[in-house]
Amino acid sequence: MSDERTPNLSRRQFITGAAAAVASLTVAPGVFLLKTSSASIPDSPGTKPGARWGILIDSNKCGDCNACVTACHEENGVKSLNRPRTDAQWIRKVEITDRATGHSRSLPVMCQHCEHPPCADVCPTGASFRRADGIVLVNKHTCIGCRYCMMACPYKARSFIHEPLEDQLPHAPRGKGTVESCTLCVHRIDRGERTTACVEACRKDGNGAMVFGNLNDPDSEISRRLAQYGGVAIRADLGLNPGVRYQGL
Amino acid sequence: MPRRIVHVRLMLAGLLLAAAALLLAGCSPVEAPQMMEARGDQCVEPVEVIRRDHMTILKAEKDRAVNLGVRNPDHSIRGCVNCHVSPTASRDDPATHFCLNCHTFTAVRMDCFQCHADKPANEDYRHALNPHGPAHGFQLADSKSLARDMEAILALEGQEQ
Repeated sequence: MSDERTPNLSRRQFITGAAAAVASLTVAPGVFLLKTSSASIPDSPGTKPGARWGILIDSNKCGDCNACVTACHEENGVKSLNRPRTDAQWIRKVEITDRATGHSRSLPVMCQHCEHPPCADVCPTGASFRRADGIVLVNKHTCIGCRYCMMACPYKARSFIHEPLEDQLPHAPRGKGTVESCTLCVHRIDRGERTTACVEACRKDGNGAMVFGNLNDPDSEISRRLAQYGGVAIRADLGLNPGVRYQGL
Repeated sequence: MPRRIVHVRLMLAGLLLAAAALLLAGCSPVEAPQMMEARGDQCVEPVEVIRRDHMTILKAEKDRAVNLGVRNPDHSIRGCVNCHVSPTASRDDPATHFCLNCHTFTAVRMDCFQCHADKPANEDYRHALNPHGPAHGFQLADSKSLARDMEAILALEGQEQ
């Protein structure tokens, strides 16, 4: 009865490169053309067929505001307990400065919804997984709170809940002893909405620096922008192919 | 002397019996807890099915919702809470909380509400009165299957004897 999924690339397959689905080609030392079949996750009845949801963030437009962070945490009932070291953080603003020129810019970083999520690779229970439409989630029913995924994530995107919580929101269950991160507002997507709380807030109260859309649809706004102006992944060297892309870095 | 001991023993046994009878007389049948009325008119499944199998339905539902994105509002924990729990409910006052009330009474500990919202977000919510079919992969117990189960149990007992 249980429909538990296993990550599409097992740790052993990853290490040995034995996965039949992965045909990798070394172009030069350290440069790989990695072709993995994202089709290894079959479409599921509840997700849009063939979709891969993603966000494009234009750091040229992103300014000194915090609208996305506030909106995300309000949408998902993430509250601060005034303990910055352990407070959950689904999205945060990061400021980067070029030491040579002193030029600095600020951009939001959240779960990057990788095509090959390291969190799912290391998860001992299969609680971290990637949905058919590319959203990386934690199944908190199976999460045992070991926090391997937090160590594995190169983006520091995940948080652990240390204390009992109350007054959670019906669409965003969260609780002590489990790991959580940005869900790409999966409750909205499953309702048929095509935007997330952060993107909506950025458009309304911020600088309109974020675009949400289907990366697999060449006619979507996000794909057209990416085709025209390009977009980079943070830590592209890891070959994780994240669904969150940045411009102007 | 031995006769006297027998007397004492008889008296003791009599006293014990009398005490047990008194204790039993003091016990009334255990009263069911006061349950809050559901806000809708009709449950999503027949009451006997829900009583016996609500956990199976919810378990099947959670896997499909989380992993596959298939959301069935009628068989979700949110659906239960929307109809059965008062918007002003409190975890500390089980009388306002249908789920907790019964689970406290039957001494079944459940962890759902450590993560899931324990009261409805929308005060006016009512679930649909024409519920969907049974949960995916879920077989309703009918009289035939119950009879089969009973026969199997009886056969097993027969073998043991």
